[in-house]
Amino acid sequence: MSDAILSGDRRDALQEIANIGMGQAGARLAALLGRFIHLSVPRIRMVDTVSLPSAVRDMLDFTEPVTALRQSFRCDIAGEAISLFDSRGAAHMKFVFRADESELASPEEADEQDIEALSDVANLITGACLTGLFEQIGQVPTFTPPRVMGAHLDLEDILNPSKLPWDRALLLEVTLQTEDGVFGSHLLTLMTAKAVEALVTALDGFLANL
Amino acid sequence: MEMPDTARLAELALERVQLGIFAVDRDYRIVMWNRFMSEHSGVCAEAARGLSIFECFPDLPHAWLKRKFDTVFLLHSGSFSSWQHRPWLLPFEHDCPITGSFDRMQQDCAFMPLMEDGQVVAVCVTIADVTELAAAWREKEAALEALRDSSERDALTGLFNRRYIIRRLEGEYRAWQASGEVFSVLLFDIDHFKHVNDTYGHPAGDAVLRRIAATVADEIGDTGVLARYGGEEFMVILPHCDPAGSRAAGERIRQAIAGDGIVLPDVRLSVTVSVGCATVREGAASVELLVEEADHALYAAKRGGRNRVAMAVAHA
Repeated sequence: MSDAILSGDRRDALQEIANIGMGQAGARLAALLGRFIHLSVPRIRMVDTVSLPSAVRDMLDFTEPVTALRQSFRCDIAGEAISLFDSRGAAHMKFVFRADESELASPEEADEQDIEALSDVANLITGACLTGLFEQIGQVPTFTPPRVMGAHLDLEDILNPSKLPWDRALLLEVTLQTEDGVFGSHLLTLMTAKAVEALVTALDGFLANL
Repeated sequence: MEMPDTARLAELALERVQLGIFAVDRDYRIVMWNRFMSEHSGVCAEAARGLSIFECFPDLPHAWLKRKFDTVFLLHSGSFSSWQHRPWLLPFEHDCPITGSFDRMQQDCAFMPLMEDGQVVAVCVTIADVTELAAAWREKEAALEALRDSSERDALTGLFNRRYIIRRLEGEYRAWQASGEVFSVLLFDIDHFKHVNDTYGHPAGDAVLRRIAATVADEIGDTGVLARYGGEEFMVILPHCDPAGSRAAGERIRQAIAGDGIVLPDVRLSVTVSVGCATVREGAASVELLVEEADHALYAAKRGGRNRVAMAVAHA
């Protein structure tokens, strides 16, 4: 099973890096939005992309259909970050992340279909989380703009292995807590075998410096 | 001549690239402004540097742009703007005068951190001219629209085609199953059409078809959906229409056509149609059966002498 690649010390290291990274990300998002934001300790799982839809369903609390956006990231490790939203999550996130206070009075007002707003949310969460995580191993990733992978589809349609030319997925489940409740925010990263090797090298470096 | 050092070369490159590049500090004051920016904005680097970008360009969307900058300062990651959501950040002329579709440069912007010792010292913004891409995208959308249209429309008359109307009919049927709101189907057929073609030729036949399409489209307007169903056969779907309503509509169609003369270069024609009407009801188990009922009614109209309206047996 692919979890063997990330086991023992390496796995613990990744978990610790992710914990610190998410803490950092949460603090930064709160500062940006001027609102209470807390990111939970992320659950991490490494899976083959074939098992991705079922793994996602196990880990995350969604009501399908979902909308997915993808962005590429690159530092020494390159991959893709996918953000998934169900319709309730999407509306709430747009409300929480709104730039202009006068825009929306309530989550109900957020237009579910507003792709620009959702792209902004995805970019903020992805950017904050992955930058926070990678900074712990001395890297600052660059990102491409978010693109919609699919809107209002089932997980199998969006996370179809034929559409994902990647071997492995590092599932990072991050839960976003705001002042009016807890809303799951879901981040997946996909990497090639080469990228996983680079991650392992970086983790080994992190462990060596402890 | 000695090659300038890397820093100098980078400076020179910055001035040459076909990309707007500028940077702001934490007070949103301009700290870098390349040649592309000066040439397109009309504000030179000396004038721009030190001014707040909002002072320099008061029409910029304040809250939106401030958020873009703050994202980078606070998260250390990037921010973006796509021409599709916001056509431009700054109103520049584009460099592709041949592209008639846009009056201003369409812009994709990226905001990124410039870091020194783990601190974001400035946010760098790139403005890419994507006018040509935007024009190509628009052309593609128009082509797709035309393709969609041609698959839904009859080329000769411009009416919806059979494929389309059957889909619409299925939709109406499902809506009726859900809501109970009845709808009617009319089938009408040109009387002695073969005779028209044989006597006056196919161009005349085509002219007749086009004329009937226009006349009936005018007659039913927004109240229904009209399509060319076969060679000389047409279908009308009338939502929220009961048998009495369908008979009245059928009669209006019949009269409009019967009273119409078709003037061609060599001849003045007149044609008539036979009309069959059916309304969905509890017994109508499927769309196919409903169409069959309308068809039987049409046949009855033909047999009854043509140029008339007949109702499906259930409503007669």
